Amino acid sequence: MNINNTKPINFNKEKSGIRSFIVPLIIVIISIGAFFAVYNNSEMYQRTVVKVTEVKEEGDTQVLAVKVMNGESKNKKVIIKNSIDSDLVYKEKYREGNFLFVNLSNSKILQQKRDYYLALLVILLADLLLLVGRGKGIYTILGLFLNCILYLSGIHLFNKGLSPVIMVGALILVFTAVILFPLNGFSRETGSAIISTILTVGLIAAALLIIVGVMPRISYEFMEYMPEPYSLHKANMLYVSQLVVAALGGIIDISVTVTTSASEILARNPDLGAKKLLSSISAISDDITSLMINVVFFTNMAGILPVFTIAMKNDISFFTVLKHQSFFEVSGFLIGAIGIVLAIPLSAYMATLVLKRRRCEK
Amino acid sequence: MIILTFILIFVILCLVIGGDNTAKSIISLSGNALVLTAIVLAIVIGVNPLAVGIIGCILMTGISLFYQNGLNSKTLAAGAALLCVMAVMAWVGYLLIVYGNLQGFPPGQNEIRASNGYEENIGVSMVLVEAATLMIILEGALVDTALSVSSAMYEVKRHSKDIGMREFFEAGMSVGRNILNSTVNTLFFIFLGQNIVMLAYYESDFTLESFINSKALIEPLGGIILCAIGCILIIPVTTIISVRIFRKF
Repeated sequence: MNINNTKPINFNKEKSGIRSFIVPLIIVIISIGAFFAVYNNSEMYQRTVVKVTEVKEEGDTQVLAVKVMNGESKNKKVIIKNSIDSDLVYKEKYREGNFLFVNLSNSKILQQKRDYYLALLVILLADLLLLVGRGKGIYTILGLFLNCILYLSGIHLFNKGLSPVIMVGALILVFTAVILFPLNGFSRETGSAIISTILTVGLIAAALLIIVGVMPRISYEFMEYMPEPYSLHKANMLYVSQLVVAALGGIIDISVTVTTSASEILARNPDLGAKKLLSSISAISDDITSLMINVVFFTNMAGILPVFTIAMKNDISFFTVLKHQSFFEVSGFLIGAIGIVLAIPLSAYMATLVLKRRRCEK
Repeated sequence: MIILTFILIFVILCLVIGGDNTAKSIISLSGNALVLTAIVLAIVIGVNPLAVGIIGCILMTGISLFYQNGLNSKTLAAGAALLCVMAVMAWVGYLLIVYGNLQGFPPGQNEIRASNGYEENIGVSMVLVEAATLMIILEGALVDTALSVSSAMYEVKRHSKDIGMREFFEAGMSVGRNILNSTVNTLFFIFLGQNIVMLAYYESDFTLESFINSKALIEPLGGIILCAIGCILIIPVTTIISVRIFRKF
């Protein structure tokens, strides 16, 4: 994280009383409106939507009194049953106020309607980005939105036959540019950060392709949602893509931090050699590195908790689970961490190439 | 084995490139991995997953925050902020899991199914396991943001001892705003990477309509968004706490 960013701090002058309330108020009003739009969107669905009005539990069955929210039977009241258990490994327990998609002809529950939960979270995130982040928040929202569209387009092309490697490679190039240029400006520093990001990612991808090619075949049974049959090649490419995209965020972050620090150091010591620069950079980026490695560790590894639970309770040994079921999470963490550490010298070296030359030209 | 290769590469890179703190983080990581193992074993033995999650998070905070970075006013401020925000986010997350049925394993997954030998009467509440999972995810990101902000504020105070409270607060918020973008994007990319297979192939199990309502999408996406929300919230919280604690210097 850019804690060493020594740009002068801009203390915002206090806005006049009313003005500082209007923008947040507008944001809140729009947010509430958007949320209720999604909450009440039952009409837009083809499948029948019902709302649970009353829940009675009889042993391991829930007796749900529901009201139909759309379609021909709108406002009709129906009784539906749902079987539950105490662990809820595969089953779901419904509550008053939940919305469900049902098939009225055989009283079967198809799925819970959860779109408004997602809407709530997305709206909350956007609001906080705007209210806390202000200007930078807007950039972040736009960046996220754009990257989302790019990602989805990339996947669409992938499904039409484009090789995952090209898809991911192109995506990464564009993602990085989209994130860095608007925020940090079209400067040499930004260009340097982008090049070092791409270098780091390229190096890791190349190493991964070699490793995957050389080592014994990975068992992809635990790659969730991978439809069978699949070609080993495709699975391998997806595995590498998975690791590289996940690591990208940390790599961009470190690249920007290191490039910014390097730029400041070089501004004061224009004749600093690459080796000395690297050791100064190491000292500064040390704290950030360990924090980022923590982020990567926890976000990747937490996901294995449910799998471990159900596997070990079904008498699969701890080490088997570690080796097979959690393979992808552990890989994700390690590659993310490797990316973070690798980005430091690459960014520092790139900074000396790009930024020093600029000073010589002066 | 591939994992061992990765570990080897990582450790070598750490020792060669990183400084003392990076080398220390190998020890911290090992410590955290041990705590995580203990969490898993405790849940399997039958201890309440929520209690295990809370104790585990306390231990992991001790390692990641206080062992790795020392016991000082910076880490104390970060720790206090972490406590506040984690409590709120864990509570919100728990409600989301319960009302949204985000626990357990969704249909569409290939491996974890009763027909593959993963029987469901295991005597452990998956709702609580999911809550513990969420707490662990929050842990890493929140510690990072909190410590970054409190460290930066410490430096500001060190260089401008007589800074006024209002200015000091604004300084912290400004630092927070600068790191907001990279934090949120890092989290977002982790989500995109981890779920690339699901997002690429969702059509084999879902329609667009059923996908956006599915546990399969909302469990991971919701988790990452909660993480991001927590990271944003912890900025003002850390700033306020830092203003109060560092004022005495």
